[in-house]
Amino acid sequence: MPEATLLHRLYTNAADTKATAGQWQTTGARAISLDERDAANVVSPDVLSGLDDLLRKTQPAGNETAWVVRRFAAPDGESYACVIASYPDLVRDASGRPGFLNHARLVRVAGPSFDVTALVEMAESFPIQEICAASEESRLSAYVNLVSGEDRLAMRPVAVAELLQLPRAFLEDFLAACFAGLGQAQRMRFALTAPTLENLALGWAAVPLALQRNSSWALGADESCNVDAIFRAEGKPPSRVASAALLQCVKRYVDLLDSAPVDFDDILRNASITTVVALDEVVKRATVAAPLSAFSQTSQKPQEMEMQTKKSRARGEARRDEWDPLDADTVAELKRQYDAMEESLRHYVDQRLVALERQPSRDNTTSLATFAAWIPALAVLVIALAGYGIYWFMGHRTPSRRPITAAQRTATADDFTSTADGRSQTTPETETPRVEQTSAQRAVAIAKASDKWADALRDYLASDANAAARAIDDVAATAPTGRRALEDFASRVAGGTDLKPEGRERLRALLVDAIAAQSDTGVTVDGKLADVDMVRLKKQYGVTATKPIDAHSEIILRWMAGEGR
Amino acid sequence: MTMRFLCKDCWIAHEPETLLARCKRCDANTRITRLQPLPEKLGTGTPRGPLVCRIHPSEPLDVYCGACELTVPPRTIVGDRSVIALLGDTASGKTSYLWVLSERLRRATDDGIYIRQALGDSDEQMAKSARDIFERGRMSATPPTDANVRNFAWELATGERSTTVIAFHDAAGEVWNELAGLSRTAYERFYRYLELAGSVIFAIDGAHVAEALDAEARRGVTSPQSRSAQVHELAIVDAVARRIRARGDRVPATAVITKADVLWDRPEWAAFREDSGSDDEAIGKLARELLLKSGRPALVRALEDTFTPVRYFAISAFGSAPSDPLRIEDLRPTRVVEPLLALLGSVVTRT
Repeated sequence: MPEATLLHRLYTNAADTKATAGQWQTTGARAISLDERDAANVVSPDVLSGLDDLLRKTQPAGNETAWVVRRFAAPDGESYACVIASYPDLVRDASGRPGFLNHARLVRVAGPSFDVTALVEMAESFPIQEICAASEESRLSAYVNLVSGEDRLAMRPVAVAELLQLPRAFLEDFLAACFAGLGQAQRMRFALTAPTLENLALGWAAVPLALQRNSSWALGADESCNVDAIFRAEGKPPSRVASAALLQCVKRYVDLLDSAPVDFDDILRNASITTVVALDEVVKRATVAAPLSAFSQTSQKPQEMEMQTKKSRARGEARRDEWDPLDADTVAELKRQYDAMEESLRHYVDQRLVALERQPSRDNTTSLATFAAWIPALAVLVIALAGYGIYWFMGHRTPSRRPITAAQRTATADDFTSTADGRSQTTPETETPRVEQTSAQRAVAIAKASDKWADALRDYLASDANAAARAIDDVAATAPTGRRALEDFASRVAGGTDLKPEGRERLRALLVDAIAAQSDTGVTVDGKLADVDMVRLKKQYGVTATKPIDAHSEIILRWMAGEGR
Repeated sequence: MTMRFLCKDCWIAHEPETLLARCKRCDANTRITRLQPLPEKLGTGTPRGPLVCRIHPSEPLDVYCGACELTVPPRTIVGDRSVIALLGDTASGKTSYLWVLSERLRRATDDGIYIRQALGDSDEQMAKSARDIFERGRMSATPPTDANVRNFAWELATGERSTTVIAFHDAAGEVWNELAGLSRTAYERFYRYLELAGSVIFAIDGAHVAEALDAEARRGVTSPQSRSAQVHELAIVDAVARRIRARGDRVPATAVITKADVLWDRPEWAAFREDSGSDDEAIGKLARELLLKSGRPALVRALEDTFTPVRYFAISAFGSAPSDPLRIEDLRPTRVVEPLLALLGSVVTRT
């Protein structure tokens, strides 16, 4: 097994007992030189700066030794693995106060993977009891003497088989904690079930190489320690901190350890995985294409093997001549949907224009912020136009596409130029300038075109939540009963909550009750619609929809648009 | 004048635009818990009343720091002098002083000043700092960390209907000693604390002062520790002075000789005792004279050139030399509140 030179760095506020009256002595915490074994003589200034900063800020949270593990990137692409032991109350400072001693051990890592457990074992096995047995004045020199015997470390790569010894739940929690704040030194506190330094070090070996370079963690350290994760009893479980997506990524990754350890080892050594997102992508691909390995075949349960054998690689793209042609009905429906989407987008853009026009510019100049507000709308417009272009392309390139007959063309034109009573609307060429409409009126126009009033109401609640909430508040203000329920809905709509179908059904019923109660004092606003004269109400608002859900939505939208009052 | 809310964990004095807020009632109605910028949530409540929700005018908002998203107590409104920098060399008694000061202010002073409430987790952090006194009978050395721990803020009642906020960070002496070369990226929060500091308490180790006084008297030399303490004191003032001058502010300071109990038995310095009957002015003159006689004229001049005004005090955090182990019942803090009261005379109070 290859060996590497071990470097050391000591930081302590122990009193320097060698000081004499004529010697300039620095009080307080400082680095203690270890001559040729001192990391300051070997590592680059950047590494030394980061190491010294970590040593200064590492303190035990309690009376037990604190441990810190991290890697420092070296300029030539390699790195140093570092383990710091922080001993509280080991020494006395120049004023006789209890002091601390922080000891960093570093080893240069040149291989594709590195198991830090060897370094941790060396640090843990250091005979600190011998130091404690010495007198307080001599502890620092005794410590330095003992450290002098540590100059080499056997380097060993990560053994995937050893990782399998870790409890799965522990490994998932540990990896989630490491990835949650990777590289940010946010000092997030996590609580793990029965963490031991050995298990944590072994778990860290499961972090892919490139991610491990940016990863750091501590056990039993104070929150001043600038690492990514601090494992302490009063921390939070990683599942409460990490996002659902991260937890899923970790779960898939650990699944791979069980099911395909060879692939797992490849991922471990993959130097291009520099982010957790990249790791997730690689794991997903490996999960789909994972071959059955001899190890996994013997260890997996039958149903897992059956699941894995059903998985197949993703097929390539189908060839163009295999596409099914679109029939005319489908083309028409697609056109109708794209027209409705365009109408909705126009409505959104007009709303934004109105909102921007109302906002006074602070310095009377066009600001980047104003332009930036338009970017989402422009992006949606570009996507809509691209989608329409694809639809047009498919309609014109498909070999068996049937040409639209003149009758169909006329019928299509009539659909968009005739109203329900047969009168013609103006053609686009002679269209009069658009009269400014409210958002509710636009929603009514969209619903008229699509004849889907429930969908139009749902979209209106989502697209102009503030206006919709105000309208609900307005009707709540006049409702004899049910005001609180309506106000709650107004808050939820304003807050952008997805009401879901049952919520929307309840809201529709309450609103119809409330609208009916405006002209009929006998109506109780309870959402039951029991005492609502629907015939009268439909006539009042000119409702044409037949299905109850659409009829209710039409009443509501028309009321919001100011019709029938 | 815009109100500024202090996040003592980040050392940022927030204006309302950089704060986040949450309404419990909105959260319950929407079943979504999320923080939004305060101006978007803020309703038009009563002037000087609590910050209330725009949609629910009777619901006070929970306010959070926009940087760290930790809670900012709504009463943490800071003035120009609220943040106090506690300077001093290693082992000069800064942590001990802060601890006994906070304990002493739990009950009202003669002027009726007392801690109305601790803001955030100040009391928990102070208990942690002083833990070693209770567990080991000795205050331990403060580690040279960034200003993300050992941050304290208290709301003081300063009059019948007036309060003020004071905030400290207990920095290690090593941090002050190395201030001139301290990395701004590694000590980001500490620098923010320093930039917010509007007044200064400068701790001078009375034990070293006494040793220097004796050496002057016998025309001898002092120990290396005492000599380095003098050098560090001057270096700290010089490093802070550069920042003060760059800001162009008028910053008040109190120079506090700690561990003054070592001098109580000397007739010429007996005025430092609590029962001496001396007033603050007399104490101040005597303390200044002590510094000059102990070989610190350069320090006195540097303080008076940098800060305006400068008041001098001599205090004892424990009332005697710390025994081993320290017993809480033996502690007799002496004149610990006077330096802070002198600074509060310059603090803008909130009615």
